[in-house]
Amino acid sequence: MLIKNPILTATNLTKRYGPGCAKCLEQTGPDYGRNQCPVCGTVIACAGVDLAIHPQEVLGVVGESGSGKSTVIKMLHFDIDADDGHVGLHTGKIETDNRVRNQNVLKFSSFGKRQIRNAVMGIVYQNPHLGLRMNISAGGNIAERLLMAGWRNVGDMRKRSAMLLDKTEVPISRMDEAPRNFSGGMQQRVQIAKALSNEPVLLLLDEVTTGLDVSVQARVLDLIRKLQQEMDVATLVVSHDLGVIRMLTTRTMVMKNGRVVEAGLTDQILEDPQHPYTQLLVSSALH
Amino acid sequence: MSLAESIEQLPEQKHASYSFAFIDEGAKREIRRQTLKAVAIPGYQVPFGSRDMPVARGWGTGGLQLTLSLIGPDDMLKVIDQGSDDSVNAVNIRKFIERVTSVNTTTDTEKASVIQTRHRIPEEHLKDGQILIFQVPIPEPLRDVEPSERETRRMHAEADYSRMWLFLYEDIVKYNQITIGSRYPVMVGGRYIMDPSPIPRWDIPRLHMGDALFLFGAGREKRIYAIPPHTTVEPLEFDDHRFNVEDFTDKVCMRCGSENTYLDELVDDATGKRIYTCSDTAYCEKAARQKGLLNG
Amino acid sequence: MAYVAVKGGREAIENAAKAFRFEQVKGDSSPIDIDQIKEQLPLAIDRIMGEGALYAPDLAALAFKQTSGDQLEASFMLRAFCTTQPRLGYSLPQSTTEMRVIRRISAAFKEIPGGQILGPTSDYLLRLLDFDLAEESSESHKQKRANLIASIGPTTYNVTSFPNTFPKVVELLEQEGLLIRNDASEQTHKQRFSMVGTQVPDGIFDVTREAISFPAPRSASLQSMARAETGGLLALAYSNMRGFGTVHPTVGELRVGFLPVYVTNPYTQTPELVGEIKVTEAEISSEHRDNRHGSAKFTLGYGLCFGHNETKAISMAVLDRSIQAEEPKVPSEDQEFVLMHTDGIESVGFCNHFKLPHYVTFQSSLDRLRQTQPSTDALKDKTLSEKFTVQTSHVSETKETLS
Repeated sequence: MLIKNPILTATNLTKRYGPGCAKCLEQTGPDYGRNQCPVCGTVIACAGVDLAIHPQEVLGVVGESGSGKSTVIKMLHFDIDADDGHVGLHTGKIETDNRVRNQNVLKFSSFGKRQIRNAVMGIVYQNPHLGLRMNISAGGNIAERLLMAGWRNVGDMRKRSAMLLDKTEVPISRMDEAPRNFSGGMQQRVQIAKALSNEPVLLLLDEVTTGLDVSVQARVLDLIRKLQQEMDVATLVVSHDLGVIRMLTTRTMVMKNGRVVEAGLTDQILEDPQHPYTQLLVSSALH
Repeated sequence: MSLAESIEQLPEQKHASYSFAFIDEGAKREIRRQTLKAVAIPGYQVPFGSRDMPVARGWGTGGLQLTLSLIGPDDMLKVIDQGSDDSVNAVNIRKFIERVTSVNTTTDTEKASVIQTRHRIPEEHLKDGQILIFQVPIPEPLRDVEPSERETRRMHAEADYSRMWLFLYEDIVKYNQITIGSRYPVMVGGRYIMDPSPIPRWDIPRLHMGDALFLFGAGREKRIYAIPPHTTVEPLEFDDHRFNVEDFTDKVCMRCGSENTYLDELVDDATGKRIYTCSDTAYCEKAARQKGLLNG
Repeated sequence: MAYVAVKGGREAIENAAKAFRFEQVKGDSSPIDIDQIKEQLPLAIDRIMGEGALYAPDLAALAFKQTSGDQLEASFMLRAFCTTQPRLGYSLPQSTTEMRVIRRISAAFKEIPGGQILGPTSDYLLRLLDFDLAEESSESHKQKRANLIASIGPTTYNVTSFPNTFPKVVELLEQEGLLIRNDASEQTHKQRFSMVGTQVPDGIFDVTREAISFPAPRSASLQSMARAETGGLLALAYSNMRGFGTVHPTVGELRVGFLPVYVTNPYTQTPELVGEIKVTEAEISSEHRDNRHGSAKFTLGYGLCFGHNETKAISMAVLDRSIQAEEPKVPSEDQEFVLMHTDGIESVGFCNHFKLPHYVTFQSSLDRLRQTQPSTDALKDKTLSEKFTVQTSHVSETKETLS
């Protein structure tokens, strides 16, 4: 694998809910099988998470619900504030890189974070209600991202929206219809089109196929793989489903009780899991 | 100031009489301070401790507080509503200000130093030194896309205006044009989206790089904002869907013959035909007199 | 002569004002005394003072008379009057344990320290019209008073044992550790005691001096509600307790009584008693389950308003409790929604401003509407003009009435 500078480097990502105490980190985690501090009741959603995402690569984060994987992706997208940690960016987009050089973007004002997000990120949530405005047309949803990025020509925006909807296999004839009328699979495809509209450097996928029918899942995953290769966008995939991880990712991190228990090449992890929890996860997925 | 000092400085006052310009001096100073802040940050809505006026909330109490806190005995005041000096609300407000200040009033835009208005900018060009004070019902331009004040303040702080733009985009998709009539949102100084008060689109271009000071007061909503002279004011528009003003092509004021003013549309009681007159009645009268259409 | 723009506004509004005043004097009954209003319609006066945010029974009675009995208009007059007066200072904080109680009940406990005192209440009166009231004279009025004095008093309860102060019922719950107090209110409470002079005391938000923004501190929230319109608070509180919300209130304590008002003497710096005000105070408790600890506690809602107005105090307490919700799910849990929509003077003004002419904005909308129509064929044009003939004739009627 060609070594390039990672576009995103995160260290010690930590998020807790509650007052916190000296024992919080010591007495939680996979060794104890819990993420709630027995002393003060604080929930450690995740702690000490390090990760790096390289250009064009697909990194997976797998774990059961409550493992902290969604917290990680939401902190990276600035949806929730981290309590601790450092995130550095090296996006290759000159304007953004000048703004963030050698800085911890977690410390930026919400205005600064918004600008970074608009310039270099795209996200697809498990729940389409989080990513889409259900009462605004599908085309409008995509245009919103373009408007954020400064587009001011309705014709151009409509052309780009149509192109993206076509790519994500949403009939262009439904471009002016609101997503609330769409099926779950189609809503996810509109979300993907929206996430890709501003040519992001980093695509974040948070349990994108959870809740969809199996046949629909396969179609969405195929689409993501196709688009990811076509657009060469670095991608972070969070899922509880090893099948999704296997299909999309090259490297994987396994999380449990708010901590990373194992990380490495996806193939290796699936074939020779080291941590007992990963072993359990892999064996239960295979049978 | 200590309480003892405040008491020493109390004017001899009885219930029946009111001090100059109604509002107590301390409150006027505070409103002027907030006005200065508004001038310093064009288009930004400055919260202020809006006082209760003897006219109802929603009837121009914001504009009134600005006028009363700024006006001095030498000022020349003009008050209009819907462009007219004579409409009932304008008369009422003018009467009140006259009663509590005894300042001179005029209907002539050129002669006024302070103009309080509801829904219009006078047709005549406003000059350096003049102040136009707008009565504002809803100061928040984003209210229609987001009702929560907490959220809209955040959106302004972060210049997060995509939802406003999206609203306009959807309008175009649905109707092939932006359907906003009056109260057309503008971008002030390239930074803040601002509500220009319910003036027609016709008046919007005159906010741009003006010579006069424009002040906006929302009493019920407790906000003051301003456009200082020579500030850019751009209506929100797309490259391929430009802002446009109301169309009065081929329409002429039946009183003064003006072809380039904002018109009121009326139906003649006798003939049932549609006719037009200038909404700015003082301008109309002046123009008619100049053309010899009016006597006296 | 064709239609011309409405002229003569000045004469029209002067005549309208005369017509309004005429309505007040057109009957032959003798004019009402301010004292009569104050003494015989005290609940109306209390409500006006509360919503007008000025404790001034004489001015409230005057305003009530002047506005022909429109309570909202009368409160509005008190507020406008305040604007003309300089702010000289803030009274000293006063604990309600010092209240000279005339009524005090708890729905939470059967027996409370100090006892339940029903006091003056219409709660248990049958709502039957009393036709005797239609035929009263000064003599019968006096006689009635004498009869009432003779019939209540020593026979009903022992006046000599009536204590001066009463402990707070909610303190019982607090001592047991069953009550969570709002942190913010604790903090504000401490800061309140350091204040003097004309400056806004530390930790207190003065809603009459500063525009409220959200999230608002609790002091701002309680002040806003103390000034709010009774009906507005009631509607929102009712929506919450009826089911669009989670507050199941228990009235821990409801008090009506008189509170002393102290101000600091500016010359000697000592507290001086300047008078007392009648207030109603409600403390309600509602169960609250802490998700993290899993244990249930009671939380408190607090309401206090001028005068005797129990509906307002209880509604306020319920809303004070409901707007502490971290993630509002219904309107009555949203602080901004509650505080921005319950001020009577503001809402009534905005509602009525729609009576003002909107010719200019209407013309602008008309221009937009015409452009969005697919085509403007003759038929459509005709319909529009017909509609307009109706509207304009209505305008000219109004014009005639006015002038």
